Amino acid sequence: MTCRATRSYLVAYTLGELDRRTEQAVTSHLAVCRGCDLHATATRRELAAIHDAVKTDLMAPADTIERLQTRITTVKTPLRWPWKLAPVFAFGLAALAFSFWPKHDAAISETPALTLSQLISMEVPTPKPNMQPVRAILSMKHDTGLAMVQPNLAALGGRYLGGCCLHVKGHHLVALQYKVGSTPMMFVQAPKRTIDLVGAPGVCNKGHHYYVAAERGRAAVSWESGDSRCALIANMDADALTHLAMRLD
Amino acid sequence: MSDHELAKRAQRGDSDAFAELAHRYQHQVYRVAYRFGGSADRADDLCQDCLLRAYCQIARYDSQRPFLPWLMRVTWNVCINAKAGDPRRREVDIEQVEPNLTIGREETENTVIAGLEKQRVLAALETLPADIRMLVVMRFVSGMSFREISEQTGVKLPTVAFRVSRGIDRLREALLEGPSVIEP
Repeated sequence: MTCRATRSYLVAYTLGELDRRTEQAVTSHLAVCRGCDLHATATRRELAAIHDAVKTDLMAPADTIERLQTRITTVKTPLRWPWKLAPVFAFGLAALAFSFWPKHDAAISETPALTLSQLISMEVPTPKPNMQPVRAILSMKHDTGLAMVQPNLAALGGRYLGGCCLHVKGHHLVALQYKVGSTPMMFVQAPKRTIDLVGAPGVCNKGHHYYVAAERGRAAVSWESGDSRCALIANMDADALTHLAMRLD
Repeated sequence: MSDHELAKRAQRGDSDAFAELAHRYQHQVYRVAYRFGGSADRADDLCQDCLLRAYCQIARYDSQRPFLPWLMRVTWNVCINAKAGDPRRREVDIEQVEPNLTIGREETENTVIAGLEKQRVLAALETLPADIRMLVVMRFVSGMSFREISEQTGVKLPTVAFRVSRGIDRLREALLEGPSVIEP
């Protein structure tokens, strides 16, 4: 280590603030350099004088705490988190979150699923023209947590008449009504568990299964789409309706 | 009762518990405030402000950690933010060193010289910028290492080392200035 470097470290060296390696290097240099050693002695003396001058053993005035307590009574109580009320807050937050959570009602899931026959015989609701598909999508998302499928009936010449939310035998359905040609048609979407397809005849097309039922000139075709089940219901031939459904999904 | 228990009670609103904590550490705060403020009156005010601020912020204190370093950090903030223009800050109330007349002449001279040196150093300390002065005070009054100062103040270690060194250089210059020998 050079004399210049050594002298630049002397204050930190005297205060004991150097790392071990640098401290050893300075110590080694001081052992062989008389000039730097004299500087080190002077630095020690000056720092001792500074330390003696700055340090103080003064005590705080005897009434410090009494005056502090007087002032404490005049200041606003510090804001503290009321830990004892934490469970109440937690419960309130949980209740609030639950109220906004998509409803997967246990009661609904336990009610018997609808059959295709029930869908066919379901009373056709009066379409609400102001209920656009977008609103139906939001309604489905909010009530069931499912993403609404938008049927592309318009591409098949269908005209949108309106939509509505239905509650059939404890199940939540979204129904969109169209008119394809002169035939009224209803597109229904519901959670998978809502529509029971056991025993219904089905056909397979491009990996999708379509289940069909027909009664008294009215037909219903149902298929899966993601986590939900869709159905198309119309007063028409079951095969023709199935063919139409295949072109939708 | 331990600091930890007292702090927990203080956080629950027990001002007596806080008073007990303040009683334990009031002198450390006062000494720093005294050297920073430069006068007993100023130190008294600063000490009160520091302890009151600590009371107001006790909810932020992590009771798993030692109390004194946290209190020193509050003290640092209060002192640094204290009004630099406070007129009382300049009324330097340096402890006078009275020569002891019962001791020999040589010793008396040494004592007087030491007293003059002390006055020069303290006067120089008063002229340091607030942040450097506070770091020097923490180093020499509280006996904190650079690393401890860095941890408590949030100032980076190299910056602490640089500023303290700069402050010490100014004090050394003051020490070497002026007459150091009293003519008989």
